[in-house]
Amino acid sequence: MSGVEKFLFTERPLEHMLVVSSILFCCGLLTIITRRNAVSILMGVELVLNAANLNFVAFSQFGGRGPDGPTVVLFVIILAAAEAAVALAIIIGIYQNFGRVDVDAATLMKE
Amino acid sequence: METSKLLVNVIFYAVAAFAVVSAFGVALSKNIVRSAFALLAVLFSAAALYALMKADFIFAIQILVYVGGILVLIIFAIMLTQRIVDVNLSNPSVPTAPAVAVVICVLLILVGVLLANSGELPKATAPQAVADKPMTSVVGEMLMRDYLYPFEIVSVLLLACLIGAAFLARKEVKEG
Amino acid sequence: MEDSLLRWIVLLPFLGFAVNLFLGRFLPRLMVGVIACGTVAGSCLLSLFTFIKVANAHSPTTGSLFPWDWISIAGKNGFTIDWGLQADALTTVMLLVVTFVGFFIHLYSYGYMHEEKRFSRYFSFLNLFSGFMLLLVLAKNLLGMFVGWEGVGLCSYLLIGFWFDDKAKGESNSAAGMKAFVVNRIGDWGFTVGMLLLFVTLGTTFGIWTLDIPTIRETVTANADQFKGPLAGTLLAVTIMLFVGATGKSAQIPLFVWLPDAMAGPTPVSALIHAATMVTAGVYMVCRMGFLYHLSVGGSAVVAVIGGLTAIFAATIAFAQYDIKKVLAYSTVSQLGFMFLAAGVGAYAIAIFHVVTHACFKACLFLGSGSVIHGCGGEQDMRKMGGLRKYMPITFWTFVIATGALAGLPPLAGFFSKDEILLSAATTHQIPLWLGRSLWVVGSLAALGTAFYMTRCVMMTFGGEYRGGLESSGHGHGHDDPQSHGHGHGHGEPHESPWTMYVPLIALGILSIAVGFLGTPWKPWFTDFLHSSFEYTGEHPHPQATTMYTLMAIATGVAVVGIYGAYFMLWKRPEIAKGFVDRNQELYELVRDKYRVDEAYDAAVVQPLLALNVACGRFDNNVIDGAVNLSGTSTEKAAHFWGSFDNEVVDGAVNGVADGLMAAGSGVRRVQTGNIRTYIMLALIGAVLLFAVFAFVVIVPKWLS
Repeated sequence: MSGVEKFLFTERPLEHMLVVSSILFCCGLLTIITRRNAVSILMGVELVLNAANLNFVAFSQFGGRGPDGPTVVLFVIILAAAEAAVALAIIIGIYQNFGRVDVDAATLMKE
Repeated sequence: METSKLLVNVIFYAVAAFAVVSAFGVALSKNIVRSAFALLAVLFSAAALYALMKADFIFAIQILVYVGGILVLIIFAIMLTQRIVDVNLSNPSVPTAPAVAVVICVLLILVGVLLANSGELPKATAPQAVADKPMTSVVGEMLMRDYLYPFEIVSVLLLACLIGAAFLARKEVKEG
Repeated sequence: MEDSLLRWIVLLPFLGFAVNLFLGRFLPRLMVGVIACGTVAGSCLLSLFTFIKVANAHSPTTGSLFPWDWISIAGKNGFTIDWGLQADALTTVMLLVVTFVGFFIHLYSYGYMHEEKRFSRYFSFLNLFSGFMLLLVLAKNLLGMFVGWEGVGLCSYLLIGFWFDDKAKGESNSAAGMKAFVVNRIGDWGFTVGMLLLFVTLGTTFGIWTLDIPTIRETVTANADQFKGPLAGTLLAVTIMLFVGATGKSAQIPLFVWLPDAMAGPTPVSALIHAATMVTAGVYMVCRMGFLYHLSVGGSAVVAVIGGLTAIFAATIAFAQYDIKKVLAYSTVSQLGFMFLAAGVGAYAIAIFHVVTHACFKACLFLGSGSVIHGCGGEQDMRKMGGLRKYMPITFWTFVIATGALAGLPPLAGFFSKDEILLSAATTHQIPLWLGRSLWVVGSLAALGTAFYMTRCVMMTFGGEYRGGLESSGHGHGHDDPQSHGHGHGHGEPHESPWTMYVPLIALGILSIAVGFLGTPWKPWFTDFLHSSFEYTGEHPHPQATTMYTLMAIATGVAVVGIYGAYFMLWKRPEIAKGFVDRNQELYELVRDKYRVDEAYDAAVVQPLLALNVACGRFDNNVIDGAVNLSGTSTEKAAHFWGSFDNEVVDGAVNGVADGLMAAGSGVRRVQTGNIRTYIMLALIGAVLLFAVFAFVVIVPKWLS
């Protein structure tokens, strides 16, 4: 039981955190790429930002560079909020004009 | 104490697993409401992870802003754009299988790079903030000192977004 | 000896030719006649002077026609050909013959051609002929002689075809002229080959490149052994080729066919050219080059045999002719055969003697026939004549004298010359004696025939009663007479000719009697005079007196038998001749048709040549024009091909590139979907690929090391 004990009783190394954030990042990418709904795409974007935040915080815990990590995360969250507000306003606008929020159908600007 | 360490690890892995599963739920769910709630779960898990990483200020902000603000907005938007319930996952723009394949490749790359350079990653140290002061005050001070310029710009940006969003979302009375 | 006047013998007639040709149209007829006859008379006088000079000096006179050289080639093997003239004994004799007889014939022509509208043209041609003939005789080198040789051929053509515009016979007249020219040409080829062969032989063997006759004579006689030995074959070839030229010019077998047709020309022309002068050019040439024939037994034999055969062959044809001029033509051919017979057996001087006597009596006969034709209003067929002795006594008597001379009746001229020929043949040293003796037999038979047919001719023409169509009224519509051109005289009955015509007849008749005495065996002045020209023959023992007298008697007997036989068979008892003819109808017809030689030549030579002509024409049309057309069409096709190639292949390539690019473009264009998610996808794919590349380049070697 020494390996498992070791595993369970030591503090987690940085890699594990980063792996988790990588997985979250890839899930976010997948959402962005494959979904047709504009709101779903927005949700994917949020996932990606969250993964980045996790990275920042993880590194700040292990890097010892002061409160830079969390500060940046703060800014990211603020910006994410602003961006989500605007994006959703646009989506609502599109829905009101076209009746649907299918991104594949929104080809009016293509020509 | 080993017991506390054990507890911390167990909680860490449990929360991490929950986050990963929820993320998969966001990506793959056919029902958009279900994916919204999966996102909720992810955000909560992220907050928990922040707490476990001794970033208590961020934990609070995450809950307050992300979950309470952004996610609520998203759910509102979903409710308002109702006719999207019958949208299915596959779409002609990007076929599913190649997308999944590519994303898995990206994941593998990231993890591979990470593991390959694991020797050069910094080791754990105790963050200063916990030792001396609460993180909130430290971040506050940083905002007023090192990050003053971004802080001001962000406030302007927030103002612009506010006005813009309000303008964009108003009902067009004249056109019909 | 130099004589600067020598050239005027040749140039005077040429001068007359030029004046009459260009100015004759504007001059009155008398003037034209005076110019023409005057120039020939001048040459005659000059020839007389030359004769006296040469006779006194016993050596030749030389001169030059033009003082400059004609051809001059420098170098080791170079040579010069000038315009040299030489008058030795042989030449002076010929000069006298040509100019004397020529003068009389010019005079005769003045009366004969009085009605002719192209009067001056005729006389200019006659003068031209005289000039060329004199050049031929006087020339010192072979090339100069050849110029004269060809020139007389040309004039013969011009004069034979003189009436080419005659409505009835114009085409056959010009055809006869062409025939003469072409057949002569064949002979000229032989002459040229012989001349050049001699030239080359002398040059390569002895290093002497010349065509000068005295030089050639010296070289040949000095190297006589070589010419009898190793060069004998070449000499034989030379002599035979030169003789071929002579057969063409002097109408021997096989090139005699032009002479009878040449009777289509005016009668004075026949007299001058085809009796006295041009046809004797061949004999002159053989005698002039006698030193060659003297050294070649084979060559001499050929000459003698051909001469003998021609003599008897032509004589037999004359038996069955009805046209008076044709009879005289074949008689000429026969007599020329005698001359060549003499030359062939080595008796060159005798041959020339016969030339002289023949010229006199044959010219007399021709002019007499011309007078007969004129008097009968253009009629030439003897069957329509007869009894003319009453109407034209002068013509009759001169004709009879000339006939006797021709037949060989002593003491007329022909007897002496013909007898000498036969004597030489029987006692020859030049060719094998058996051949000579056989030729004596042949010659005697020919003489018999000559007497026979000439008597027949005289009897038919002058004897009995007039059978022709000219009685009290009516015009004659004959062929030869100039009166048939334009207006007829309407004389009525046959009549004697004007003085310009019968004076020459009388003169020539006297000559026919007198000339013979120049060369009698007892006083051979003639042959002695010519001895200086024929020194190379050397001295031969005189034939024995018995031989000589025997042969003389035989010759006389032959002549008498011939004459009496003709009188008996044709006149007294015509049924004998008629019976003979009826029994041998085919033979008679064969002889009358001149053994169909002309037809044979036509089939063997003329028709194939014409066919070749047509074939060449067709070849030119089909093959050459076809080739040209083919190149044209093939160029056109090539142009089409290249055009379509350019259109399809080149343009196709260009268009293909454009189309390919467009297809590629439209293919590639589909990347730009405008869909951002696609872009993200592509960016991710790109990032993955980049990482893969990076991994393989950097990571893998790291792992391996």
